[in-house]
Amino acid sequence: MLILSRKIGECITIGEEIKVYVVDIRGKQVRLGIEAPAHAPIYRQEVYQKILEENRSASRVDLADFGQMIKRRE
Amino acid sequence: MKVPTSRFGAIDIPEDQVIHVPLGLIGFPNQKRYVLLEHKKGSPFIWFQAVDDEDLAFVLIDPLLCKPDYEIRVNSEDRKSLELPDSCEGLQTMVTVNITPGDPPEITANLLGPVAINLPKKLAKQIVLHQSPYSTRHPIPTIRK
Repeated sequence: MLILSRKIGECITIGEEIKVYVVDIRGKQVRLGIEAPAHAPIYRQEVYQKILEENRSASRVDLADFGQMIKRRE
Repeated sequence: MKVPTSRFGAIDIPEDQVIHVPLGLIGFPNQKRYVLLEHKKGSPFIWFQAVDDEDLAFVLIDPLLCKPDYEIRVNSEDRKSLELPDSCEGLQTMVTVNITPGDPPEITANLLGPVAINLPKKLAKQIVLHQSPYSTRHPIPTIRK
């Protein structure tokens, strides 16, 4: 992993299209400003990870199991 | 067009019914074409079957059937990718459904990562809700017909 030091107002560029600005630092919180094209969506990692895991799990729903569960509820 | 699926066998779907997901669903960036299939006639559960991967399918449901006061904000970036620059007209929000193991196992819905579908344009995107109180495993109450 590449680790860089930046001050408030400074920026890093990733590839041709992505820029990350350090907007503010307050105590243990850093505020970042990010410019990226639409094909590079930006997510908070913990939320993204939760949805990723849920998607993987939901993609394995078995048709017969699901049908049975629905029937039991009716 | 014929779509082979491991759950439903080969299905025949008009090509103009294919929903395009340019970014894929999260974790499945390579699958960009899906079709909607009713679980059973009149069922609120809809399968979202990948066209190019016969094993990949999700169950979807209208989130309002899981949580009547469900609300999301679709930001301008998301609207742009859904080709809805000015309004949310024609936008249908669905959420994925899962069987959450337990005793007894429960049917749950992912309210945190809804799938927004522009139905007229057959264009969809999974939206990530930040700073949201919603859960990825919200129990679905029994749905009255």
